[in-house]
Amino acid sequence: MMNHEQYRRAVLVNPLGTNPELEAHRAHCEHCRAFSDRVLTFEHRLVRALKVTTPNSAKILPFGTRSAARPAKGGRWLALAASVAMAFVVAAGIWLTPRSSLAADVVAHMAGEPAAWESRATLSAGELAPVLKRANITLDPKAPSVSYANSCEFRGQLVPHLVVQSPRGPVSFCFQNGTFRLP
Amino acid sequence: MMDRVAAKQGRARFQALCLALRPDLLRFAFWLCHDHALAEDVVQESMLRAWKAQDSLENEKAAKPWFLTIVRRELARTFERKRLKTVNVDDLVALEDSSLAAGDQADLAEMRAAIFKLPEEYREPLVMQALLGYSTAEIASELHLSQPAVLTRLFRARHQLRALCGEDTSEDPQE
Repeated sequence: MMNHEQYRRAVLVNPLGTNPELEAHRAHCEHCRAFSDRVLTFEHRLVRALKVTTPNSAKILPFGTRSAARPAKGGRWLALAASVAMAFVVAAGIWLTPRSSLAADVVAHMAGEPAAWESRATLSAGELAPVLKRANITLDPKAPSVSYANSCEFRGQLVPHLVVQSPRGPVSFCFQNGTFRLP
Repeated sequence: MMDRVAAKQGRARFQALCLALRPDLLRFAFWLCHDHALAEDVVQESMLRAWKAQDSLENEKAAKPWFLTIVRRELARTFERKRLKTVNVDDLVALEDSSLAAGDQADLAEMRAAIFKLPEEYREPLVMQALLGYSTAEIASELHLSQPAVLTRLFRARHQLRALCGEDTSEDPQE
């Protein structure tokens, strides 16, 4: 006959396990029955906790059946034609795109205003206000200090050019929202 | 022709098998590495390995332990390749890390934090039994342990977990 300790050990090893010896002990020992009920309740919590949510990507396998990937007869010619057409579109896109990128224009603009980087002193609200007003923008009061502000011509627009003193050094901002034009 | 049809059916069956087992494999990997993204990478890589080696799976009924072995090896490779960052579980709880508390009640979050606090040698067999439904013999075979050793680890795992969750363990048997 199983004693209390053996019963409880068996319950802790596997709360869902059962055998005639366990059943017999459980049937006649109220304390051990209460113990195993508590352990079982805990076990249900444990299982729920272990079943963490898996992402939707869990339904995507890193491979597919070859039959699904294989194009239908004649599909190869269609794929080839589509590739050629795509190549023309890409080539035309490259040819028609302006040579000067936005990033290059920003860098060129900054190089033309070296003074923007020299000052570290915080501008007063009075110095900053006209530039912000012209751009119709407001600055978050919690924003870091602004050491330079100017309304600059950039890509045909009048844009506010600010230099903010961040903990990692000065950072330039040019806001281009397209809502205001050069007179 | 017949061969091609059989191969196609075999592939479809293998895919279905992968889809059915993947969620639990992801959970298993997560409980061992504490990281959802890493668990996904490991299982993804394991699926690829399994796909390449599917001919070595002779019996579909043995698929679960077969996949689990691949995932465990892949995890071991990952741990060998890079030293994974260690995370303080208390910090995770304090930050309400999504892996611990996402959309679940506080008691589950508490339980999850406690599971992470278990030593890996206790956590792994516990997850295999409680989540994957492994028998003691299957755990012993997978972890290369004797069955009494597995029983001891499962006992200690639950005893510690209950204590960590504030359960009354005064009636638990002594070791």
